[in-house]
Amino acid sequence: MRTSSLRRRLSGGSGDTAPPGGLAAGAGWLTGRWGLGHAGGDAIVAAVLVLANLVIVIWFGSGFIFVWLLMLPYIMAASGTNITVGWTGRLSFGHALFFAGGAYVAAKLATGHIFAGAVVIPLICGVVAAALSVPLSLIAHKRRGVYFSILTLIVAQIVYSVVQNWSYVGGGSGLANVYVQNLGPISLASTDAFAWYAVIWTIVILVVLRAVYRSPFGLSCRAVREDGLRAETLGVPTSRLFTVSLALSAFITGLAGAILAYSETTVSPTQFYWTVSGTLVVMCLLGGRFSVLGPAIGACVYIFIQDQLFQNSASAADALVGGTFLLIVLVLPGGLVSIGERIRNARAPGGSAADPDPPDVLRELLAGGKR
Amino acid sequence: MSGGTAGGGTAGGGTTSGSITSGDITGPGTVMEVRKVRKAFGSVQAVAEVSMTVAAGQVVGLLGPNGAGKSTLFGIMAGELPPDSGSILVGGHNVTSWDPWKRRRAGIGRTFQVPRTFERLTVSDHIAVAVAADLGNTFCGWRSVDRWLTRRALAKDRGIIPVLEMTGLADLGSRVVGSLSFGERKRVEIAAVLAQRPGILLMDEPTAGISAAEAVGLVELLEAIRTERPELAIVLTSHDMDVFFRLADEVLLMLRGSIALRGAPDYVRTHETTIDTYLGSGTRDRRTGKPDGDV
Repeated sequence: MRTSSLRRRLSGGSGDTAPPGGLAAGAGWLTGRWGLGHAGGDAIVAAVLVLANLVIVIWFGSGFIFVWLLMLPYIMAASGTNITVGWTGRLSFGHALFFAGGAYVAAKLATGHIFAGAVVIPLICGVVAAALSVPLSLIAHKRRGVYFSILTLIVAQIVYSVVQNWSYVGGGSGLANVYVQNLGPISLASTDAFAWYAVIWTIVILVVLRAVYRSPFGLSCRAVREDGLRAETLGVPTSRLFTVSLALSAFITGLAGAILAYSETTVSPTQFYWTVSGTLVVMCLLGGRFSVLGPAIGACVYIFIQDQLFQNSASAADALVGGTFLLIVLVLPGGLVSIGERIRNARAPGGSAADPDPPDVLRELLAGGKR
Repeated sequence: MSGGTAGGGTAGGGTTSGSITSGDITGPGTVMEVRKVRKAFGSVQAVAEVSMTVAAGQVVGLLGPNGAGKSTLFGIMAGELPPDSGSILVGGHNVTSWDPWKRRRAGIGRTFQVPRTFERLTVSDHIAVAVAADLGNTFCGWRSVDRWLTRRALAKDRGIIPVLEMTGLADLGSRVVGSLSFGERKRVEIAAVLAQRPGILLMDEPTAGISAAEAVGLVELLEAIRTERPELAIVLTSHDMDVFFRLADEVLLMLRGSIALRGAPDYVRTHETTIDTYLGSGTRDRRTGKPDGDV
């Protein structure tokens, strides 16, 4: 993430506003209490994101918009990563492979003449990322816990080393001048137009994820997370389910990578580095991995804090990853979305403010669930 | 069930069961057959050439002390453990190399001694996972389980609500499974399996770890299941012989990995091998060698 460099490259600004994206993503979470149903929840998610974009584009102009343009692809990427981390309960340190892979494919296709490229290229990036996930799942589907994490980390790091020394993709310098193509007669060259473009993708991804989460597929993924053997004895083909879920996770993360490449206009090998995977995992944990919108909230809050506090120090930003992880493990294992539940529990007669989720989040993730 | 008869049974070591050929034991209505299954863990022979058959509608009890090989045999039947030799046939198909999920589709349902449930899912969602798997819709990612699956399941007479009512969970459908008691989670496990309408139900220690009152309720539930699903074959293990005598048509006593005794519940209960196993040989009448009172 390079908010400060993005800001410098484009037009600069102060960017000292609260993150409407976080509020936007959180609003849909409350729909259950309002009795609005699933479609109502989708409408709220869309409305809040559109409203946030409107406010940022009109009132904050070139200041906060560059933080916002970084938040949007990370909202999608973290939500995609959470299919693996939160839904199926596997701690992946290899999603940078899909995120950066999508960005690189977008960069290579940016100058080509592709019909409806603004729509088709991100989809191609997603498909390529999903294809990359297949060999990974074949290698890793039997591995759980820390073994799965290490395997994904190793594969991503191998690709990082290859990309760094591969001149076709720019070697260590990466690729520059990555711009989104026009959408028919509509030019997406301006920052405002691109913001709307990115918001629409984000809404589509979140609405699709919310639908999949409540489908038999989403439910079965969560069942596998809870107890793989139980799910298998109930007739769920867990290995195949994991392959499909990883492909879906990679597809969304790869698509998000394309939007990130357009947003930053450059791609570099550092996007493959394991800390990017770590950042995506921390976003999932920070927001709450047991909900669809938790990772989106986590992405917004994380990027906002990083932009406000650590924009001039890369090492401090790395410390933020560790610090946030520590905070979640010790204080808030259910993520930010669990705060409301904790407050409700504390207010209930005889209730306590204890987190409803088990506090051993790290142990649970590293163990990779039951089998 | 092979070997035993309505009024008696057969006794012997593993060789007795092992010597029975498939031609001898396979009869009409056989839904599952275990053929000369062996399994060792290092130097320990956990299951030693066990053979048995289960007919539709039959309840077979596997009795035995700790370490007798009951749970290992269960694991082999459910596909969780590969046997060293021998085979498992379900509905005439050799399923020995099949994964557990495929065996489920062949008709084997299974519950565990310590209930294995989806702790963060609601009771309804837990059962919905089972119904979706049974309907072959696990990979359906575009329809909500809240509406479509419920309608589809009801249309196929696999309603979630009737199963919840039968298992006494009707008021707990929206509760998170992890917040339920141990006994309630056992019922959730049973409800999820029943919603799939299996042909064979393997129940490992259904009454273990629950209070006496809950155990009575669970046995009544199993009796209700027998009435409601007369075609369902049940194989269950237990330390509690009362469970067998109320439910089982036939009891197999396992000792050191082999079937030492098989027959009708009364025959097995009063047999000296059973008495010696559970109470020691000192409890038999010294003059007659007969059991000194009921077991």
